[in-house]
Amino acid sequence: MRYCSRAVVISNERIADSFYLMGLGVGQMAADCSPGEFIHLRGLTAEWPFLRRPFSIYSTDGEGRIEIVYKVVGKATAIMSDAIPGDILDVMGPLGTAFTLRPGVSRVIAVGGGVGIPPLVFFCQRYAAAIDGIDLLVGAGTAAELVVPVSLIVEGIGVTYYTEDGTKGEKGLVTDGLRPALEGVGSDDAEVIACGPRGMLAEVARIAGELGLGCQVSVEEVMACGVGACLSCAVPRAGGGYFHACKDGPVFESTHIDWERWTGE
Amino acid sequence: MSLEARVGNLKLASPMIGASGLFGFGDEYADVIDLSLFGAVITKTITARPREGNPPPRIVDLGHGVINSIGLENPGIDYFVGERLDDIDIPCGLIVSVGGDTIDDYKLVASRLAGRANVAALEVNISCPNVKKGGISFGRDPESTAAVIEAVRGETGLPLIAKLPPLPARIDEVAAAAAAAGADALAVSNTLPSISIDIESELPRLGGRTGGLSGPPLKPVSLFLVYKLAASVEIPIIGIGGIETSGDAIEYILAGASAFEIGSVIFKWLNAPSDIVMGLEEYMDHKGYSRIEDFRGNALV
Repeated sequence: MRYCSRAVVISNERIADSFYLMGLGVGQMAADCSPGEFIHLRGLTAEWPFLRRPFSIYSTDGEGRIEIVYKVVGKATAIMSDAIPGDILDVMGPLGTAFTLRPGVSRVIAVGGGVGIPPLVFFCQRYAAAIDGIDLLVGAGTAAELVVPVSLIVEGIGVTYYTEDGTKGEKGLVTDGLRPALEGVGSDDAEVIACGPRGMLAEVARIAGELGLGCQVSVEEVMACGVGACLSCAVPRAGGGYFHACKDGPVFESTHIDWERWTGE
Repeated sequence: MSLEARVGNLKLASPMIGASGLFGFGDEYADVIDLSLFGAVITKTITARPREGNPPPRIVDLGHGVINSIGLENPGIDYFVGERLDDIDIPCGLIVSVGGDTIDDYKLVASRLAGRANVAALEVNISCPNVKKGGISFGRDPESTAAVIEAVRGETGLPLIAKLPPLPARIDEVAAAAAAAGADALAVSNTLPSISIDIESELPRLGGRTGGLSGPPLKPVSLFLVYKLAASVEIPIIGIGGIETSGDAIEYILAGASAFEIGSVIFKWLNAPSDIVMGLEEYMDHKGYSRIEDFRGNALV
């Protein structure tokens, strides 16, 4: 079920550098959200650009309130950062595909970069109790961009931090830590999930593929309608043609994507 | 008061039509938009063979409008007729947009749609590149326009709408050629050829490099073309280009359009269709009009 409604801003706080956490009152929609799904949001001010903007869902209380984490990168997100409690936004959702926990999987290795981290945290919170363990590997350029909201502290989740400049956790890329983290992990009962920049996802997909592990990735592509009608958000499909991130995704089996075409390599 | 619209032999419960390209196969928005507000919805252009479309990115947000470069991605007529058409169950008419690289392609698509009960009309997209003429669109000249429309006319008894490209130079000749070749109506017009360049990468922003501009910047251009053609062509015109409000739609009707299509606004406001219909009714009430025909073309003085 998809909903389209006027959402009320409940909270909107800066949590790090240019990252914000926004709480939205969305009514019924909150009860239907799963990790990986997104909302398509539009501000009601005249300054808002033409298109809505997609944001993955970070949390839901199941009773009317959801949260998103966003980074201010342009005009739309700058307008959002000025929102105050009580402001009204136009929200469609939940849209797209969710991460799935396949039967038999008891261990998940989750890899997140930048604003790709929040939906993985949602996954951890939803599924931590259902499986033996989740290893969360998160990375960013520097400590100030490493956005892991405090509510992440969930029992059974081991978090490893990576920063390119070494200001927090291990120095290096989050993908540097993936291969060691997958040592001794069995392909029958473990799976990799990832959300982050395209280059990071391509590397995660490559490593998981080499080790024969199942891997789901949540992608981002410039989007317009959000419902699979306009076909703007094309993602190259393995074997030819395109998927559409809004409807076929944003979560895909990593082997279904043609990474060479998509990363231009 | 009646919002009923007649576009030649096509009878519509509302003058508002969902433009091709924005509404998928017609039913993608069915659970979030009340499609009964529409007279009809037009599918994405269907071609003889599947087309995979252009590489991403396929759309650029200019703030005041968008440029798209989808590249007519569609699964082809066999899939559409075999796997999809029968499932499209919407509370308004379904118009299928027909395209092709050659005249034979158009004929094939039109022939496969002939006699299908849930197809109300065909909109012939003559902005497709004519492969035999080096990729210049069929709608660029009266001869190739006439050839396409005549070929499609020969395959179907369905109402035919010729969708013209926004080319002021010869548009009256193209319109007359479409009418003479058997088009029942004209849709005026289509996206404007355009480009956007990223000054950092120094490259075009779209994967397909160039695209088509839609949204409010297109409105005065397209409205001018409707105004110009309404005075000279005999067949009805459907106005399209940059309609966001009832006022925009009313301008097109005053310029002579019998109906109008809405497109990109749906990216912004899902309540645009209801706002437009409500605004149109308020306008008619305020002006004392009982039918669209009462004020259609009033600006043609």
